[in-house]
This record gives sequence, structure tokens and C-alpha cells, in this order.
Amino acid sequence: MRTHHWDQIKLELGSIVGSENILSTETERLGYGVDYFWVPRMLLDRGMTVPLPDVVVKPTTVEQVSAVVKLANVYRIPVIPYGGGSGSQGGIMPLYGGITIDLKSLNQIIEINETSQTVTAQAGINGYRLEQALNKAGFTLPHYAASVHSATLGGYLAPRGSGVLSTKYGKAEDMVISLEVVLPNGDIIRTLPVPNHASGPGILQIFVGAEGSFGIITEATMRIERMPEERRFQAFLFPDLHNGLEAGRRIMLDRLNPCVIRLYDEPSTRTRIKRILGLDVQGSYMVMGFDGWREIVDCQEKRAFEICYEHGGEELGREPGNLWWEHRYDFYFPPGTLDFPWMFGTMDTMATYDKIENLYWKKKVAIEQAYSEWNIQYIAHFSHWYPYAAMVYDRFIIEEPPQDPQQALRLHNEIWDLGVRISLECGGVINEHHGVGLKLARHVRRQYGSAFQILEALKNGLDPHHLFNPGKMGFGPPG
Amino acid sequence: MRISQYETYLKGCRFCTMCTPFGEVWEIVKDEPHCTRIRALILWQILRGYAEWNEDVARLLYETTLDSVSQAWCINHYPVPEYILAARADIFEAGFAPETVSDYSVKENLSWAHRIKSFAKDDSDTVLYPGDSIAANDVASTEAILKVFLQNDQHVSITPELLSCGGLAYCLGKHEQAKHFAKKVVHCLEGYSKIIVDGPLSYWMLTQIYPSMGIEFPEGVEISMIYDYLNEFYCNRDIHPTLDGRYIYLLGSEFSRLTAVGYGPLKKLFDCVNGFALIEPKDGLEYASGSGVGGALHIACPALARRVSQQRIVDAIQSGADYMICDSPLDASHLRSVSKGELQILTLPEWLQL
Repeated sequence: MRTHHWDQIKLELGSIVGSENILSTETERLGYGVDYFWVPRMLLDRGMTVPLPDVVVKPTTVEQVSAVVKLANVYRIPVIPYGGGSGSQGGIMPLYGGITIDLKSLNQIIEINETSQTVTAQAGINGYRLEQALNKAGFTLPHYAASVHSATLGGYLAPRGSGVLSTKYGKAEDMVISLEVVLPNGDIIRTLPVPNHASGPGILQIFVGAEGSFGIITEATMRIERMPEERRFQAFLFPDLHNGLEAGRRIMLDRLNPCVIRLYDEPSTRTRIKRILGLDVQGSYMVMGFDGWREIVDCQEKRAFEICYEHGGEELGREPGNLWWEHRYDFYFPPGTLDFPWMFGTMDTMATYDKIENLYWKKKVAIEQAYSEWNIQYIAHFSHWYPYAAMVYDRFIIEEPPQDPQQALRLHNEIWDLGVRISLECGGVINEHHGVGLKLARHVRRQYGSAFQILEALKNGLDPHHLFNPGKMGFGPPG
Repeated sequence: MRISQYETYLKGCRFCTMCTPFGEVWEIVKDEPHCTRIRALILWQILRGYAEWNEDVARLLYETTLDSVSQAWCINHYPVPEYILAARADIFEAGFAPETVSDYSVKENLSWAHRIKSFAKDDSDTVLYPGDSIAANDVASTEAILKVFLQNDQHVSITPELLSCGGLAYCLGKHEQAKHFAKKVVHCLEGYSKIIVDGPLSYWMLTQIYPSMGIEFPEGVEISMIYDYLNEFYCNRDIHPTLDGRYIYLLGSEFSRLTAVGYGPLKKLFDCVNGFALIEPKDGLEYASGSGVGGALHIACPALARRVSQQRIVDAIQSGADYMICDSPLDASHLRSVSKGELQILTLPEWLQL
């Protein structure tokens, strides 16, 4: 598009959101081209450029979001919603330029409903600030994502994110009650007031996990909880991963309702646990937590500990468990977090209990063998548990990747392709809680097979010109 | 480039979003360019030669406080203020500083010298140097301190000249100007064995920045923060029944966070005083947002600084406060300039005067 067109568009955008709420210099736009995805970070780290939006707008009302979207339709310009920038999949990358809508000025808490224990808030509210406000009222939104300091409420929902206590409280998609959404044509809609019903298909979940491909989430009502009377953590050391997994499976199937089970494989126990928590132990390290009423926690813990003993679990006491809780975010701060010059990726996936251990070993062996020349490390922990399945948070690390950006990108993508192929072959999914973004967009069709036509039909119906976050979720470019 | 000393920290911050929501300016504008990670990313790119200084970059580096609140929140306490200060000095030298910065000149020959002279006793070897009041051009704060001294039968000398400590110039990257004033201040206070400063900006400059610029007071000279000094008189005394039941919102200055003293003496002093309910900012003083004068934001970007100050007043009112008390005359003065009289804003000595 020619410059004068953009000048015109910026003027029109200014009349919607106010000229002070438009960012257009390259310096101002830089932050909107990079999240936690390794690729754009690698490119910037090596002095290259990343796709940037042509303009960023900061609407302060849902009506402004709607008006911006309607304007984008007039000019057929891509629209990319942006929350806290803490995604790890490149979901905010404006591959075809366009208008990035920074939603952080939609940050009001509309209602804390104590009777039903729900909070309704605008989607751009910062997760930490929302939690602070809820805590002040005696509640919590138990979505303790690693990104809580920077992520937004909308950002929790857009990729179907999860927090460290998801094993008891569920993922973001389990906590959401209803949404307000701006559709790709600019219409503002609301989903039904409750998520569970027999009133036709659930429209709510079409937008949760769509990462802005079907609409922009502008407001959400979420379930909240009272602060628990008791929250306790305990650490165990298992002789190996198998026994740890078996203990976790039995605890979940016995419905003992832990708020957290975090089981680290042996390499993670040797490296990450030692580095972050300072515990030098061999085996498979598990942190387990229970919360709620004290008497119930006592019973749940007692039975869960018995299961752990039955699988050779050695009790390490409460202190290492509490240490993990206190330092749970340290893994994501430098220098604890993975950083350059390393190449790294988190391939979190999930599978039912009969398949998850096989998936882990298949992937570990295949990746370590295929990329042994790069001294690749494959480490994992299992941190979100269901009454039928577990999630493996598996990561690869190459400490000395190729210096050439193209070669590095090729290697990075090859590793991902192999990992995703094995996940799918072993009964897993391409992702469990980080989302699809750009990183996994090319794998979505393969994952869904012929069922992808349902998503495609939704996309074509809602967004016929593919203006909403184009190039993501397996959908094509704008046109 | 001065920022080259901070490579490790820029590397660490450039992709880390963990302190994002805490910056005073970010809290107001809520966008990516005004968060710590993007500032670090830009500086990292410049350091690596991938980008160059320009006016847009310069503007962003001045559209912030020193971001010490990010340092407080960071689990590693990366020295964010230090690299912002270094970047500003580099920018100023490279000629890209905004006009508000290049046009800024330290006010000299303040007209209120005669108003405070009458309070002071000239033969004391303890001298009050009201550097923060001078930076705020605020005689009332200095008068309040001197009245408190008199009430407590403490006789101190007053600085022979009302000289700027150079702190705001330093924050703006004008190191030569800061150094010029540093030399003058040290010369002016020659002969005194104890120097009491009236706020954290002066304390930070005299105790940390002057030595870093190679300018030192003679050995044995003791420099005290006013709150430390006041603690000696007010501890264990039951005072201020007139404020019974009133709510006091206590606001700390960014400059206090930068000093080794921090908020300790201030809190200690408050602990000694009875008869009121103290409200701290929602994150506690160590992690709280400031008034908008941090990093001389009020000079570089006055409109933005006003918005930050307005937000602090709203915070205080929403918390139910009747008074807001600042540990720095500079913060108090700026807050008063944007206040519409919704609540009374005082420095601590002014409050002790009530």
C-alpha cells in the first residue's frame, strides 16, 4: 500500500481512537513484532528485522475496537490483536503488516460478583493487576501463568492458556463463563451467559483458542475462587520417571484433586532443579500441592503420599515444595530462563495416560538421535494433569546452534516438525497450552485432518477476507 | 558508549516482560514502547550496532522515569536506572536529546534565600543543604524543616548559597552540567562536618553520584538524610493528636529507592508518630509507583509527568486518604502543581508542623 494511503488511514484511525493513541514510528512499533517465540527474537538478536505492523492503535472502548475493525474492512487491512506480548508462539507477529490493536487500555474490572464467584473484566487488564484487585476482595483467579506479570486476561483465553495450578482449577478455557467479542465484520457480540447448556453448540469455545482468527475478545466473565484456607506443597523424589508418572496417574484417577503435580524427568532434575532450586538430587523430582479446607487437604494428602510411597517415592519434605512455589516464576526471569545464543523450544503436548510415557520416550530418543551432532538436549516435566491424561512440557536446547540465521531457522523448524510428527503419531496434539501462533500454524491442518474444514468454514464465514491475524492457525494470507 | 557497561543487563532485560506492569509511565500509557523490555531491546540493538541513536529512540528514553520500580520487581534487581541514565548521557552527547532537555537549565539565584536565612544559626558546624527544595524551587519545604529544628531546639547553619545539587541535570544526561554544580556544592559546603540534606535527590547525588564523578567531600564529613536526623527527636514521643483518625497516604520518591538508605528512616519516623492510620501504596513502598518526577520526567515530558502525578492522587483518594505525605519536596511540589485540592499534599516536615 502506498504511503499516502497509510497517511489517510492513520488520520481516520486518529478520528476513532484519538491521535495520541496511535503509534507509527518504527521505534514505537518494534515491540509489536516480537513475543517470546524464538524465531523473531533470534532475528532481532542477530540484527535482522521482523515483520512490524504498519500502525498500532490503542482503543479505550469496545466501540472503538469495532470502528477500527470496520475501517480495516473498508481498506482490507489485516488486524492483529495484542495483549501483553508474552505469548511464546509468535501469535502476535504481523506477517502481512496491518493494524495491531493493543488492547491494554481496555483494562477495567466491571464486576466482582461475590454470590456467583465470577469476575467480569475487560480483556486488556493485566493479569497481575486483576489478581491484586481480586485478592483485595478475598478472591483469586487461580490462573497462575508464568506470564502473569505481563499477560492480559484476553491473552489467557486467546491461546487456551494454563497456569501452575491448572490440575485442580482448570485451564483458562475451563474458567471462562462468557465473552464479549468483536467479530471480523466489526459487530460486537456476546456469548450465552453460561458456558454449560443444551441450547445448541457452544459458541463461547469457538473464540477461546482461536488466537484472534475468529474475533477479538474484549471482555470476559471468569470463575473466581475464595482464597483457600490451606495450601501445602510437598516434594518427592522417585527412582525414575516411570514411577513418578504412575504415582501421578493414580492420584488423578483416584480424584484426590491436587492443585499441582509437577514431575521432572531425570535430566531436568539434574539440571533445572539444581540450577533454580539448588537441589542436587538424582531421579525424578516431583512437587505436589493441595489446597482448600484443612481437613480435606489432610485426607487428600495422606492418600496421595501413600501412593507416592508405593511407587518408591522418597519424601523430601515441605521445604523443597515451598521453595518451588516461592520461586515458581524464577524459571522465566533471566538468567533462569532459556536465552540466546541457545536455540530452544517448548513442545508441550498431552496424551492419555496409556500413551504419554511412550510419547515422551519416542520423542526424546528420536530428537536426541537425529540431532546428536548439535548436542541437543531434550528435557521435560509433566505439569498439567487431568483425570484421563497428562501434559508433557518438553523442551529441546542446543547450546551452540548455527550462526547463520537461515540455517538456524531451518534447523529449528526441522526439530519442531519431527517433534510435532511424533506427538501426533503417539496420540498427542500439537500443543497443550501455549497455543498455535505462527510457530505451529503449518501443523494445524495435519492435526485436524478432514475436520479442519469445520475451522476453515468458520473462518471463511466470519472473516471472508482473512483479515484477522492472517497466516496463523493454518489459515492463508489476507485476500 | 556508556551503555556498553550494561551489556549483561540489557541482554537479560531485552526479552523479559516480567516487570512490565510496574513502570509508572507504562501504567499510564499501557503500550509496548514504554516498557522496560523494549527500551532494553532498543539499547541492545544500538550496542550491537544494529541500530543508531535517533530522535524517536531518544524520545522513548526520556518518556520514562528511571524505572527503578522495575529494578525493585526484578528478582535479579538488574540496574535498570543505571542503564537509562547511561543511555541518556549517550543520547545527550550524540545530540538527540529532546528540546525540553537541551533547553533545561538549572535555576540559579533563587529569590527565597533571604526567607530562610533568619531561621538559621551561622556558627553551627551542621549545615542544612535543601537540595530537593532547591530543585523544586520550593521555599515552604525548607521553612518547614527549619521550623521543626527550632521547635526541637536544634540550631543548624543553612547553606551559604542556594545551589542546585545537579541531580535533575544528571538524570537528563547532562553530566557536565551536573559535575559543574557538584563541584560548586562541595566547595560551598566546605568547613561543615555534618551536612543534612532535605530529600532523597540530594542524598543520592551527594553520596552516590558525586563520588562516581570523582567529586568527594573531605574525609570525615557526615551526610544525613533529614528523616534520619528527625528520627533522633521524634522517636518515643507521642505526638499529633490533631490528626486523630485521619488517613495518611505515604508516597515514596523514586530517588529514595535509588539511595542506600531507601525508605527505612521514613518508615521508622512514621512508626514513632501516633494518632493516624497509615496507608502505603498498594504494592508497598519498595515496589510502588512514584509521583512522576523520577528521572526528571517532569522536565523532559511535563504532560506525561502530570498524568503520572494525577494517577497517584487518584490512588491516594481511592485508598481513602485525607493527606498525602511525600518523602521528597520535589515530589510534593509536583503533586501540588497538578492537584485540584482533592487532598492535602505535604512533605514530612510540613506534616510535623501541623
